[in-house]
Amino acid sequence: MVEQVDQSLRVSLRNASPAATYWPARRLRWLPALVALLVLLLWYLLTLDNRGAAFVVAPPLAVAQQFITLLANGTLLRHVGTTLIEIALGFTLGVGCAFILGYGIAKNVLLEQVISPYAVGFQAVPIVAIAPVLIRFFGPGLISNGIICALIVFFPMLVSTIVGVRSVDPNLRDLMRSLTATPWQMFTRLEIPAALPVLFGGLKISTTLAVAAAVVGEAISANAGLGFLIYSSRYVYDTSSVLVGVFTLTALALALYTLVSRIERRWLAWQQRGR
Amino acid sequence: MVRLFRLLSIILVLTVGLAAVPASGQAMTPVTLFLGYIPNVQFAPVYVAMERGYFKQAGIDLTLENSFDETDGVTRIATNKLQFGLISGEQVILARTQGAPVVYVFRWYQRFPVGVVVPADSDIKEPKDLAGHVVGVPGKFGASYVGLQALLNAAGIKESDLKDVKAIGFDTAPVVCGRQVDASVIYIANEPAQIESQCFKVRVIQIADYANIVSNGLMTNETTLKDKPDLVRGMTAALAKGLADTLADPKAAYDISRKYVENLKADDPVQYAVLTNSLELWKTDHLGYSDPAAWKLTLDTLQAMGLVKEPVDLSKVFSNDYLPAPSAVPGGIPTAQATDAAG
Repeated sequence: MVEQVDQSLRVSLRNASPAATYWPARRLRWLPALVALLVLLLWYLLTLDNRGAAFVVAPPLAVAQQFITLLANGTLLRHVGTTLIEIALGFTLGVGCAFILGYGIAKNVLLEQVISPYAVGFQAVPIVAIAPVLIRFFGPGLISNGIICALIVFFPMLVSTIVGVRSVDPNLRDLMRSLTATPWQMFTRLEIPAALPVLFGGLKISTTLAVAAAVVGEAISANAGLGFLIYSSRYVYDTSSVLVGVFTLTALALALYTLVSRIERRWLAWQQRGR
Repeated sequence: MVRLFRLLSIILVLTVGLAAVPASGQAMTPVTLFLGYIPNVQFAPVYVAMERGYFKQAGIDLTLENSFDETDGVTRIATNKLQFGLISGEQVILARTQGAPVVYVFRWYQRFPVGVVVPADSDIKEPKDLAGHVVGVPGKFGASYVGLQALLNAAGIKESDLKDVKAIGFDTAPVVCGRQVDASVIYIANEPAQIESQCFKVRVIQIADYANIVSNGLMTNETTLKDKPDLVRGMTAALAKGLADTLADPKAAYDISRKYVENLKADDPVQYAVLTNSLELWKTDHLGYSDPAAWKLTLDTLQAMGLVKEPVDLSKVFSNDYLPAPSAVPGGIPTAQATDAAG
C-alpha cells in the first residue's frame, strides 16, 4: 500500500518544495570566465613592474611555472592526496554524526533540550583550543586533522538535518500513518525525500567548509597537505608556491561542490521533473 | 627705547617659541616595533627601555605591535610599511633570498633558544643518539625545524636517520608527557619547566652548544638604513640599554614587564624563571653584535635543507655598523660576567 502512494507523495513533496527559479544566467555562462580573465590581466599588470617584490605577490607567469614544476615532480599530487584523505575522513565523520544526531534532535524534544545548548556552545570553541587535546589522544597528523575537519563540518549539517526533517509536511505524516507505515518506511519514503533539498544545502556548505577545515588542521600539525604547502612556502617567502596551494584548494572546493550539486540534481530530478 | 626693547623682546620670545614647537615635534619620531608572539616577559628588555625612556632619549616615540605572523611582519618591514621588528635570523636570509631588502642590525639573542628535550631516563644523551628515534617538531618549517636540522648536521646525521619527524604543533607538553615522541624540539626558556610540571623530569640538549645559529634580533630595511641611519642607531642604542638593564637587574625588569604583560603576577615563579633562563641566551660582552660565523652557519643550514638555492651575500643580510659601542651602554654587563657567559 505504501509503495503505491510513493509516487503521489513525491508529487506532493514537489509542491511543498520551494518554487523553481528561472535561471536567465544560463545564457551568461561565459561571465565567470570573463571575470577570471580580467582578474588575471589586472594581476599581471600589477606585478609587471615587480622590482624584486615577488616576496609580496608572485606574478601569474611565475605561479603557472611553479604549478607545472610541483605537478611534474609529484609534490602537488602528494599534498592534494593528503588533503583529500583528511577531507574524506572529516566529511564522512562530521556529516554522518551530524545526520544521526540531527535526526534524533528533530524527532525528540527531550534530546533537543539536552543536546542543543552543547552543540551550539561547542561550535563557538576555537579549534586551536581543541587541537592539543585531539593530538594528545589521536597523535599528530591525519586522524587529528580529519577530526578537526569533522568538527567544523558538523554544525551546518546538524542544523540542515534538523530543519530538513522538521520541514516535512504534517499532512503527509498523517497520510503515512493512516497507511500504517512502519518507522523505517516513514524514514525512507517520507522524511529523507522531503528533507533532501535542505540536506543537500547543508552538504554543499559542509563540502566547502571541509576543504577550509583541512587547512586549519594542517596549520596545527601536519607533514603534508595543501595547507602545509601554503604555510611552509609562506615561511620561505615563496609566494608562487603559496598561490599554487591557494588555487589548488579553490579548485578542489569547486570540484567537490560541483560533485555534490550534480548528485543533488540527479537525486532530486523527480522534483525538477514536476515543475 | 623701552617700548622698542619690549617689542623686540616679544618678537624674540615668539620667534623662539614658534621655532621650538616644530623642533620638538620633529625630534620625536613615531616608530612601531613588530614583535612576534604575544606580550610576554621575554620581551622585558624592550619594556625596560620603554619604561626608562631610552627610546624617548633617542627621539623615538615607540609603539609595540605583537603578532603571531612573523612572515607578515617581515613583509611589511621589507615594503617599508613598518621600519623595525624583532625577527628570527633565518627569516632575514630567507626573505632576502626572495628579494626582500631587509637587514638585521642588532643580535638580541646571542644563543639559539631552541633545544631538544628528552625524558631524563632516555637513552638519548647527545645529538647523534637521536638516530632511530621519533622526534617531534612544532611544524616541519620554522625556526625550530631549522634548529633541528642544524643540530643533525652538527652531529653528522640526517633526518632520514631518524625513525620519524612528527609535526606536533606548539603545545609540546602533552605529546612529550604522553611519550608519543622520543624527543621533541622545544623553546628552552619555558617548555622544559612546563613539561616537568606536568609529568616527568627531562634533559635538554641545547642546539646552541652544537650549532649556534642566529636567532631573534632587530631587523629593519635598506630604505630606513639609507634615509634614517640615526634612527636605526637610536633603536639599537635604546634596545641595548634596555637589555643591559635587564641583565643587570632582572627583578626590576620583571616588575616593569608587569605593566606591559597582562596577568603577569608579581610572584609567578614560572614566568620569572622564563626571564632568568632567557638572560643566559642574551649575555655577551658586546650587546647586539652579530658573529659572522653564526650567520655563515645559519646560511649553510638553510642551504643544506634546500631552502636557499641561490648564493647569498651575507654582508647585506646583517650589519654591525649601527651598534652602540660597549662603553656607550651604561649599566652594561661587566666584561668578566660576559666572559663567563660566553665560556
